[in-house]
Amino acid sequence: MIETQTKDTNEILIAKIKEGDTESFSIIYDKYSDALYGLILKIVKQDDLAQDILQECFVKIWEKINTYEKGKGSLFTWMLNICRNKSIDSLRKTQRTYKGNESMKNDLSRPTSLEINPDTIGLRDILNNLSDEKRIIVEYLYFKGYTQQETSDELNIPLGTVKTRSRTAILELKDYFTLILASWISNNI
Amino acid sequence: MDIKQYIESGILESYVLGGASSQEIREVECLSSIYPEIKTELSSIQDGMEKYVQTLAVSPPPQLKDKILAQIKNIKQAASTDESPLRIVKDESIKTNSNRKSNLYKIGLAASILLLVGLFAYQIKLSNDLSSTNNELAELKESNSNSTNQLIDSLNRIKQREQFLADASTNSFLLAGTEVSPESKVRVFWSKTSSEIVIIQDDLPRPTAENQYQLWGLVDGAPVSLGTLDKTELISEVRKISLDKVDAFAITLEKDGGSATPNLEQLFVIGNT
Repeated sequence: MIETQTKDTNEILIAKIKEGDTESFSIIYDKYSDALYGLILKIVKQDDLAQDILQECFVKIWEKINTYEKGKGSLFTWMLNICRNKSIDSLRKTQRTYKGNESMKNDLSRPTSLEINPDTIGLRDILNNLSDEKRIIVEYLYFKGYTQQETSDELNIPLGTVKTRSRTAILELKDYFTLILASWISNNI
Repeated sequence: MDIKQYIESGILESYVLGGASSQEIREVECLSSIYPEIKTELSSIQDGMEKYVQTLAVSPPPQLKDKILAQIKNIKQAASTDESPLRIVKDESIKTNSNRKSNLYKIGLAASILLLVGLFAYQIKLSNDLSSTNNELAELKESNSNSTNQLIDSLNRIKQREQFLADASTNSFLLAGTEVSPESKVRVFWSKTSSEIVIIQDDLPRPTAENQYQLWGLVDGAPVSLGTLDKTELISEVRKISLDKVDAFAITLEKDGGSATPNLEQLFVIGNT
């Protein structure tokens, strides 16, 4: 129900943005900037840089709105991709500068717990159910921008294992989000 | 196509997590537009990712929104293109890198082959050179050996003659010039014990190409040939004679190669023993 509503609203907003309506763009900003900023911050880990990237991304979203195809996914997914790619680009630039820095490598190999929005209560327990090895895979693929092959090389895990783990991780995450949604609904309604 | 297997392969997750190659991205986008099951699965994963990212939400500073809205007012929106926002950051760099590597590899290979061919040609040349040098060396060795042998032979003959001339049993006889050539003078060294002689042409006119001097031993009034004299070597080698008794030695000028009987009109020198 909520999904469908969002979809319909977004389609109207997109159509207006395409006509150059900044008001509609402002609504989209309010709706998604927190999530996008959180994602960027998680990848680049620096406030100033994350703000610059968020600005760049929203400018790009505005500029390239005509290239968005709803057949390939939702507006949010499209925006996620833009933000993730820009963040990974930026991350790679800084990593190139620090190349050979051992402390960074150590940081990569340590299982990093996924940061949780403190507003969302009770999520940590559910997330902790996702085993470390799966979390690391998601961490490398999505937040560090590694390919499956690179993840396999870096963690010294067979490519096939990376593939199955990333699949089961997502499957578990999917269940996990159903739970989040349920808990959110029960808390708010 | 086995859709279930494709969905279970993990490629859709890889696509959503941004870990797919550009080839895989095209494949997922194409197949999800053809097969509703794949499309549904993909949407569900994207949905999961969206919800997950929402849990990471952090509010950016409030003034950022104004900055962004101010900026976009001056920016025109681009027309629709086929550009996909999904891409692999490192994919292209790897490709270029591997192209560069492959070019480098090709250049390296070509250079190696060239070098190999060059070395091979050089090797053939060297081999030919070596073979001809070996031939020359063999010829030189042979000729050197011949010369050495000749020298040793001559040296041996000279030593032999020296010993013969110094031997106490060797007697020297002077053959003096006759009316034909009063100035002529030849010495003959003779050892009765070894029946050997040496002839030294102290003074004899040079014979022509058609003539040659011949030595005779007179035994009981009869001449016995003791061989011809060398035209250039004025001191003869030690030579054996078949006589153990000689009354006198005489030298006549005969036709080239010598004669059976002496031409007494051309008697140049004679001397008694």
